Amino acid sequence: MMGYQNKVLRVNLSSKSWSTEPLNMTWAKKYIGGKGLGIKYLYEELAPHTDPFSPENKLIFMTAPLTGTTVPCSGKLAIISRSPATGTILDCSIGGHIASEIKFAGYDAVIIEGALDEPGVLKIEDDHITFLPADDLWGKGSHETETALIEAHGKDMKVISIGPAGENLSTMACINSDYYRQAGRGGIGSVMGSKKLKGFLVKGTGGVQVHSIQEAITRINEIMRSDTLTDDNLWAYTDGTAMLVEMSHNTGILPTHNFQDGTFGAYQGIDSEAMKKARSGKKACGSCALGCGNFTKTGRGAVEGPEYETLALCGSSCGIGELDAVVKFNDLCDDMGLDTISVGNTTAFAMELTEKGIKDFGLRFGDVESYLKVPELIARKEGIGMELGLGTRELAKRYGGEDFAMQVKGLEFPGYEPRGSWGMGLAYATSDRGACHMRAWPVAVEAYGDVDAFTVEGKAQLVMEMQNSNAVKFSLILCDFWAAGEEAMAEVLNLITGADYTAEELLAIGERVVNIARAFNIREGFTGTHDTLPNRIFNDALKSGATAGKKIPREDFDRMLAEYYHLRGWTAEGIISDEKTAVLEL
Amino acid sequence: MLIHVILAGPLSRYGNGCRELSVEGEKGWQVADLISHLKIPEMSYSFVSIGGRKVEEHRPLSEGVVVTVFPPVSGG
Amino acid sequence: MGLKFVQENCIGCKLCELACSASHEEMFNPRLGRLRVGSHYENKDLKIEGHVCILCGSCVRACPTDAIALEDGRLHYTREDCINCGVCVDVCPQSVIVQKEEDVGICDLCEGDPWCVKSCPHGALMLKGGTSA
Repeated sequence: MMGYQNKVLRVNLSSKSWSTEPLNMTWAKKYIGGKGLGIKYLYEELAPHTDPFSPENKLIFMTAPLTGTTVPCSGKLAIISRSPATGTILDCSIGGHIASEIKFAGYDAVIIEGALDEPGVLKIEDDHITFLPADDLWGKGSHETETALIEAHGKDMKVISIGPAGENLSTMACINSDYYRQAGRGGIGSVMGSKKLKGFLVKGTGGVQVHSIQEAITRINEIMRSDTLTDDNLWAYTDGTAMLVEMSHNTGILPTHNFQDGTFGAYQGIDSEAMKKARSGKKACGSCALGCGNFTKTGRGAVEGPEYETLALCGSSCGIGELDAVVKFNDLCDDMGLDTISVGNTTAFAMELTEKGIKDFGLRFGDVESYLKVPELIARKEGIGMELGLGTRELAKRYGGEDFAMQVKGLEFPGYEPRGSWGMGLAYATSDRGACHMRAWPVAVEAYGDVDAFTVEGKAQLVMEMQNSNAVKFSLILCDFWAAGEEAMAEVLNLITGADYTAEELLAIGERVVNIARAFNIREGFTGTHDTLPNRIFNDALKSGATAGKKIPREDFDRMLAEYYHLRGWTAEGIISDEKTAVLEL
Repeated sequence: MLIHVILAGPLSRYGNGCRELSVEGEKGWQVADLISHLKIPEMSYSFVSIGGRKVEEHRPLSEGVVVTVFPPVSGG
Repeated sequence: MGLKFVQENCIGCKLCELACSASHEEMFNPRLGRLRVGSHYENKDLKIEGHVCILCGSCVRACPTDAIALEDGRLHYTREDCINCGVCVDVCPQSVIVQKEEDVGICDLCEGDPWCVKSCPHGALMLKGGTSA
């Protein structure tokens, strides 16, 4: 199959050695690349119960056949490891231009094993691999690090780095690239930190060869015009994700005051209209026709973003309706190398604990000055940051408030209130890495569409289909901002590889990917008992707007979950049945 | 009756490039009539809101109402 | 005539570079594209740059074997006459001539229907005397 480089770079940091090997094409045929292939590699190579911070844990950077081509929205990189925050499988996705560069350097994947004795940086220039010391960079923010590395090694190096949060093994640490792009969730940055790998640089001077390239670029260009640059995708270009602030407020699913409500009175201070007034430029990831990145400048600072998740979890959920405050908070998180979703959630949780008199963190909803101190304190494990950095689940274990620690399996909620989109509740509960909106996003058809949001009927089927579709999409790799259906996905994949996948076959691969992730988690001891939601969702009714009075009855959730397991061919305990395992050919 | 329309995101294309416009509507119009009048295809919008809240297509419109039309989105 | 880069519309996606290299070199390799665009952050500011062939004729004048000609509003490259001296690469004020192993890559406007213009999603590239995609 074309589109692949058929080469994996395997780096051992303990021995400072490296080797290359062919890509496992038997696995590639069944998992394609990206999320699916990365999880397969980790499942096969990682021993069960490996400590995420031990040298035995691996960090897999996985591209896909579409990476480095003109297929629109194909410029993302999958990063796979075992999560320090949850202990589950963890696959993250980062944009910018690093994914393409790894392909141009000649690799489908870079697998990092072992750990350095001293802080270091890995440099990959085609087939020249060097290990460089990084004592001078250790402790520095991600932005200063990226600047220093580009100054030392040239503007055509693409950079991946961690900030102090990753160095200090924060379970909210992210991996950064292109200054403002992150692989955000599950503490992926601290896996890198545990390996004392401050960053790596890539320069690739080669190319990607595909099947019948002249035919491919002609047809792909037509697809871009007819299928990507359309009304249902161009919101990303015109507005970016900030548009979801007003959409969520209007539908009563905007997290407010730690998910106590679904509408936020001051939402117009942080919506896309507010962002447009402060917009300084637009930026795309590699090969992206949409360009969702908004470079935003305010009195307090500048950032590419804030994205919706940040505006929701670090904005409305913290009671902050001032864009410049959220921009500053976002910039601090990016530089420190922190996941804005988990940091925002934990800050809001601490605000509620403070206001309820359970534990005084000195934080209050809407109090900007104390809020702005949080990212740095968490990253450097200082002051209240030592405890906030533990995340909502651990904080709740220490002080109480479990019912409103908004997390699943130890990963904090993204920006969609499930009581206003009941299928989203199932999506959060069953996502492979903890509460996540990227595996299935029923919000699109429930809250924002015509499907009844306040019932569990049909939601098991909906969530399963969306999970299968996104799983294969993130294995090709395509960004979900191009709402490409399975037919379009099959067409572009076949144009690049010369294969003849059908839409049905791609969905079957998606199902396989979801199941290999599930198998990894089951092996780590996860069962159906972990597929649940915090009690706030079942017990507390929302207060205002389109979702006033709504909560998800526990019996309904249980019924929806049971139906989901049945449709998936899993047992009542959420374990993959033997019959299903045989069929899936994991 | 005068209706104020806000066309979010790429939907300004249906207002000749204007995000905000005023439309002279007929008495008895519902949201669905406004959408057809603007020639916005079914697939091109996700929902409509009035007063900061999502409304159904059969919701009647009144003089001076402000209606916001949102495009479909695939992620956030 | 010739290409025009419209900076305010560029988002730095580099689809143009990839399409250019694909159509001329049978592979996706941005370094083989006959134009260079990009967006990057410098001093906390977003910089967008684009360099295209401006038909200045410097390469035509510099070529010792007349392997490059400017006719009908575009460059013509005769590979058989090229001795791969690299002088054209050096003199190009836009640095958009590609040095390859045995010859060079010259922007020929794709003989009238430029791939870069077609590939640009938001009109950051235009063919003057023609229209943007």
